[in-house]
Amino acid sequence: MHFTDALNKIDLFKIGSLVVLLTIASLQISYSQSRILTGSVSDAASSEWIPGATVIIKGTNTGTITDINGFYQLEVSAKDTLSISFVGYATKELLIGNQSSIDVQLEVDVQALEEIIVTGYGQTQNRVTVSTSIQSISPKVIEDRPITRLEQALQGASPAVVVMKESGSPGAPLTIRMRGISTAGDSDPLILLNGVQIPDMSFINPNDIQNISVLKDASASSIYGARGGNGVILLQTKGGDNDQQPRVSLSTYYGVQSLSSEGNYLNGQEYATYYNNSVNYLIRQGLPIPGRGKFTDEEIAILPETTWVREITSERPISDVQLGVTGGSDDVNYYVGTGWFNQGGIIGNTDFDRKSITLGLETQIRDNLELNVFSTYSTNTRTFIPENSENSRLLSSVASLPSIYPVYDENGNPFNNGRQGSGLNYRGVPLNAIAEFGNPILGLTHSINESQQDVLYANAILSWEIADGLKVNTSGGYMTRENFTRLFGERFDYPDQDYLNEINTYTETNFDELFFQGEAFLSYDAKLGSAHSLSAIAGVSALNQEFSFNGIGATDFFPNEFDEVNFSNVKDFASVTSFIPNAGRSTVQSAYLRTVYNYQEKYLLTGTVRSDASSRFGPNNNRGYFPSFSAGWVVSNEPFMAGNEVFSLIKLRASWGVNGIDNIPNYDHIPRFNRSLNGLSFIQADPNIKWEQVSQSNIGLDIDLLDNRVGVTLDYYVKNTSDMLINLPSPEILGEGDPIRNTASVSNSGFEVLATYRDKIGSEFSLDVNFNIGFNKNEVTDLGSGQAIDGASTRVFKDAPALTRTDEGHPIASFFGLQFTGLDKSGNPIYRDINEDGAITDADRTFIGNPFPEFNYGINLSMKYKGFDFTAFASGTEGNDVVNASMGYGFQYSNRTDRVLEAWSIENPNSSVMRPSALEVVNHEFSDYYIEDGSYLRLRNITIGYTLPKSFLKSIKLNSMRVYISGNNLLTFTNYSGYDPEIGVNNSPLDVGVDRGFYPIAKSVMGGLQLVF
Amino acid sequence: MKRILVTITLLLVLIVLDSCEEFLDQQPVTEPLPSVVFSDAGTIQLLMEGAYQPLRWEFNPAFGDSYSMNYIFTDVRSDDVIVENHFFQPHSHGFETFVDLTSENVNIQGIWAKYFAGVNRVNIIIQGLNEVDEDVLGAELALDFLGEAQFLRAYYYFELVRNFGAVPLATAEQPFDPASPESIKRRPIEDIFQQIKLDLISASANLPVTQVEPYRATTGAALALLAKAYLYQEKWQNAADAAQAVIDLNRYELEEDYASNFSIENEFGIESIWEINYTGDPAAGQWGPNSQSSLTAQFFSPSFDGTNVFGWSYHLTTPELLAAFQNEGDQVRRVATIMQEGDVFESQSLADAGFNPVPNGFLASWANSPESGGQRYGDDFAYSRKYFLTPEEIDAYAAGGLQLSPLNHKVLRYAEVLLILAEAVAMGASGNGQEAFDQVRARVGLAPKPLSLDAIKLERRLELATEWNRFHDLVRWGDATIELEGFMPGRDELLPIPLKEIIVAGMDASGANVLSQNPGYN
Repeated sequence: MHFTDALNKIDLFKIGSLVVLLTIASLQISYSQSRILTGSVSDAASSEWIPGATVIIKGTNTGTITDINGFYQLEVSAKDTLSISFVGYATKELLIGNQSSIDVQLEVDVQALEEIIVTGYGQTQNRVTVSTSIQSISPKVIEDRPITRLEQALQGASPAVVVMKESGSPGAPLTIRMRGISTAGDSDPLILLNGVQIPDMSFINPNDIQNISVLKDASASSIYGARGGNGVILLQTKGGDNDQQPRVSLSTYYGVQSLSSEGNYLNGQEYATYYNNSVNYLIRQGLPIPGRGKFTDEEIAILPETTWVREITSERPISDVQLGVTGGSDDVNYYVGTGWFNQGGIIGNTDFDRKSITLGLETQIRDNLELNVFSTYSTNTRTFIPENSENSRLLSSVASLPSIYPVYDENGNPFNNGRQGSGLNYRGVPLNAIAEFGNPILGLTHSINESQQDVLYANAILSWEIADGLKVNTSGGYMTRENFTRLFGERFDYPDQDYLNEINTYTETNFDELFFQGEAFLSYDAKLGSAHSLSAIAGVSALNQEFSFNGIGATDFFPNEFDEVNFSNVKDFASVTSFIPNAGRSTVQSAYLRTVYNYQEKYLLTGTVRSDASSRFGPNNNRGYFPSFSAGWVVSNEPFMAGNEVFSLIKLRASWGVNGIDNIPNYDHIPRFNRSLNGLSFIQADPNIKWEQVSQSNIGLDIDLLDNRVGVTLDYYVKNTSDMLINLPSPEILGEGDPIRNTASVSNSGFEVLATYRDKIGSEFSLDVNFNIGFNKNEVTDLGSGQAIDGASTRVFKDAPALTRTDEGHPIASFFGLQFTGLDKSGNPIYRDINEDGAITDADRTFIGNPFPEFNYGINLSMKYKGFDFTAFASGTEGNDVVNASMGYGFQYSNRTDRVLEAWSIENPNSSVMRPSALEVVNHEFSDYYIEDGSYLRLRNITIGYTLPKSFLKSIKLNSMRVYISGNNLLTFTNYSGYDPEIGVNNSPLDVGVDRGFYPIAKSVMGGLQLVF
Repeated sequence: MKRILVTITLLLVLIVLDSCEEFLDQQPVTEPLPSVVFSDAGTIQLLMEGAYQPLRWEFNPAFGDSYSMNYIFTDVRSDDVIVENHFFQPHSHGFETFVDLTSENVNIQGIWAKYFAGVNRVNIIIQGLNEVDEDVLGAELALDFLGEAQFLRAYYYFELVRNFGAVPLATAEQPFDPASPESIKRRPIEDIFQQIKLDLISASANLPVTQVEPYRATTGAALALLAKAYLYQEKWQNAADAAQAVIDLNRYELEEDYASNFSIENEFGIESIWEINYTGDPAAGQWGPNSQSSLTAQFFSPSFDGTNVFGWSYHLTTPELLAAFQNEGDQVRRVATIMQEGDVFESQSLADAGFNPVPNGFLASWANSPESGGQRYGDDFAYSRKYFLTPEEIDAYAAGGLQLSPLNHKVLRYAEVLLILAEAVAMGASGNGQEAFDQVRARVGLAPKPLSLDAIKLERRLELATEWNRFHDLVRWGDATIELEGFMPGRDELLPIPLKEIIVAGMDASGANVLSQNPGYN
């Protein structure tokens, strides 16, 4: 299925060409008696020009922003009212009349920001008139501190959003969850870049982004209907300004990263003591002593003190260079940006490198015809290691190997701590063989994994104003992403240590994706009389997604270098084998309507309805309808509030709506055959599956008070997912696999607070504090079959049990195991005998933890004094549990955390930590003994900057210059004993909060420079 | 103006309606639809390969650490083989001790899923073959496919019935109906055997006597399995007749060298009637549903580390089995079955390394731990040899090493057919049982012995040790209670129906579970 094919089928192009034709036909028609108004905006007190001030024609979306010198130019008509606003200043409104030039002086004010909220489909709304729950995240977040991935801009910025790290490895994806987990399947929110659906944010250069809108409630998101069930995030890219001299900006930073925490694992001395105590225990109990006996002091002195995590980590640089040019003439403005970001990984040779070039162009083709084009090309290369994996224990070895084992032997060979039967020793001191965990140096040295991703993204929007306030918009978006991954395992031989890999292996895989979206919509904005304000959009859209996968692999190559290996130099061509190729395509076709109305900015109404049809469902069920409504009452605009001095805004909001989710594989409604390397097998399918429905009610309150120094937004929501698509367990006797069916239900409810405090003390000092906190409660209400769904396992625990269970009445993916109740009088653990049958068995397992937080929060503090600026940003979670499975509880001699320093002993009989047991495999049933509190508060960023005074800059012909130093992840407060409490999703949505050896996050210190020429 | 608007709106609506269904009709790109599969001999052939595939399922990650190698349910569950390494075989241990063998055991889930997958794959083929155009396959190939499908269904049901007793029965003609609890209820053992008989009789007629690809089912395979199924039902004369029919094909003979049956160099030899074919293809992976190799060699092989032979020695044979060989003076089969000090291996590298096949306590760390009960084996426990590959053989045949063993498993050997005939005759059927019996003994240098059930019992144990029979033979003979420690009569003859299966199969109108549980389990 190729793109041309897709085009043939997508009749959106018909629509597009139609609109263009009609446009051309109508170019003669001119509706407005418009002319050009110019002017400047300056500070009333200091008379300094204000660049970046918003100048718009009231009641429309027509407007501009003042340039660096505070000037603006705008097309207006005499009856228009001009509205000029800027952060920290009172908005001014002026009737234009016959004036051809208006210079405006703005009064410094801590009055409300006329915050403009991007609501999608080219529409924006004043914050006051928004009746839905939407949050805009300001570009400041991105600009003022070094952000390596765009997802980080969301982290801690919105109470509705939880960003979870999948790894600390450079370039590793981040998981975004909005308002809890709405489905047991894929819970990723819908992301749109300039209105075009994109699979994730990984390829985006954060510097290209102007605005992020988080659409929280159903009324806000249901215009994206069908796929909005997991929440919606809108991204808008930067543009230039009309009539602006080319402006070149350069920003760069360089920094050094290092390991943020070494965890609380035993050092060598402590381990040896713990080991000896374990021997003592066995002696006292009259039990056989496996392995070597106690370590003598002399032996301990000889043994190394290896801090494994230090051995595999190093300081690595991080750097970013961004060059941007913006400018514009009468009819055209542009943004060109290019960036090169490079981040070395603190472990081994991991690395991430992203280069991108971006072009944004806005053209006023005719008075009433506008074309916006945006395109970006991004290429990134990531070198990574396997982690949090049951099969590759590279990182769990780091936690599991005791510090008394050396990294290298006397001759510099990697020490084989698992060598059997040959009297394992270091400098004559016998050591026990630990076969299960290999020396991590070996894996880091001899395997290389690299993946390269090339993304081309482009979108264009053509807007034709066919009548006052009425526009026809056509847009198209196109994206291709090619992932090319190479994995190489080297040949090596360390005969001294019996480390031998005779055959090197190499694989190459390609995963290519294509996205195309075409859209046509009418938008209408009108002010009916003085009191009624109406805007509406109605449109259709079509979406096409394709992917293909293929790969080959072979063993035994002549060269043994990653850079030299390729399939032409394999020793035996017969060893080259193909992976099973895969490909697929899905389509969505939609129609939508939204009306936003307000009466005197007092009574607000929004209504939307969207209809989507998805190819992922069969013909009889592929269409879903997604309505939503919201209403708002701006109490503060009522006459009875007129005299009030305290409140500048009181707004009550309520909304209800339905979204859908179709995040399932492409063809799951079609019974078909699965092609494997060995024959075919039948795949069952339910042809009647349909959209998951997420209905959400939201009530909210917005308050601004004390001259807008304080702003508070409160939201409470209840979100119920029904007809959830899960692989409903079905009897094996009916056939293989569990076909996806609409059976389950899950409910999320939560409370969100967003509070801001901003103040100006004197004319030189300003302060801005943001705090947000989001509570969420998740519960599975129905599973259809009554059979719980198990997920996540690790062999570290006895019988490699499933660690999480998704069952009715409990949060999705709750931890499930035995309940530790204390120690018996010999220091061994006691578990609760839930079924009271006198024995501890699998039947005594129960729900013992929740990997999702009770609440997450973020605090952002920023201060400015003269040229100095200071920001600090911290975020955290509370109440989430983590299973510390980084150590081999199920394997003899493995390391422990320093918790065991308080282990039970005859001298310490009241301890809650079981007696020393380094030599045995006991108490490795999965129980809450191994569950730790994963709550943390992390100072994610702290930045101090200085902007040089204008007077100085003039002499060196610079417009602006800022220098800063910044630190990321410098402080973390947590009780978690591992390297890093931020443990996200692993492979499956039901595998959360299990630390099998995560790549720990790095802390970094950076210095940066921002120049505008 | 108005007109333009109306026109645009109408056009938009029309365009959407016009293109909708075609645009939304997306069909799988790489996964063929049934209509495609059954329109081509090549894809039906692939489907047939897929029907053989569950035979090779040994590990099912869907259930956790679930191992479904047949030896766990036959040899570990008998007095021949133990689980040495509990740690990595957590769910196999109960098969040795009959303790904690619950309906939640993931190995049991594994074997249940494996054989029902086989049944379903076969039924899909038979159903499709009924509807396929005649000229797609041609008469001969159509019959061959049908015969293979019937044979495989019979084999899968044979494994199900001997492990679980009464099980749900589905055929292409009478498929399960998810909407009707009645259709998935367990059917009496007799019904299952009846279906096995029908399938095998039909298969023996539909199948050729030899196949170009030797792992495919043949007339001989169908008849041999039929004989075995009759034996399990104690239909002695039928068993004898079916066994005689195999003999009368004049296609099979005993290997001169007993041990050559288990040599990778002698797959599909003259004694072999039907084998599970392992190619050891590394590309197909291990531990998964596509695996083309056996993990058994890895699990059984010694872990000797003079230098290498890195088996995991999860299992050892018992002193009782060793004694049985020794008491019978059966040196030939002992050497081929159990490794002892002084045995000769045709392997220079083993000789150079001074390989001594005595369990040397590798992974003794686990075996020693209090949890596993400390030292639990002495010199009389020994390594099994039938799954063993020498380093030279691995180099030559096993591209993926020991974990991807290409050594086929002989499910039906001519020697067993002779022993079936002998047993049937010993139990009263007419036929040349004594001659068959003596033939088996003579091949390994043992003197003739008068035919008796006791003699047969011993002979089957020695001849077929570690070849997936012993437990079911003991149950058949009513000897399990005597021979097996911990065996609880009335319960342990059968495995529990997996609890998960009972739950998801739901309840019938009367509120009873659609799938009932076997006695003694819950």
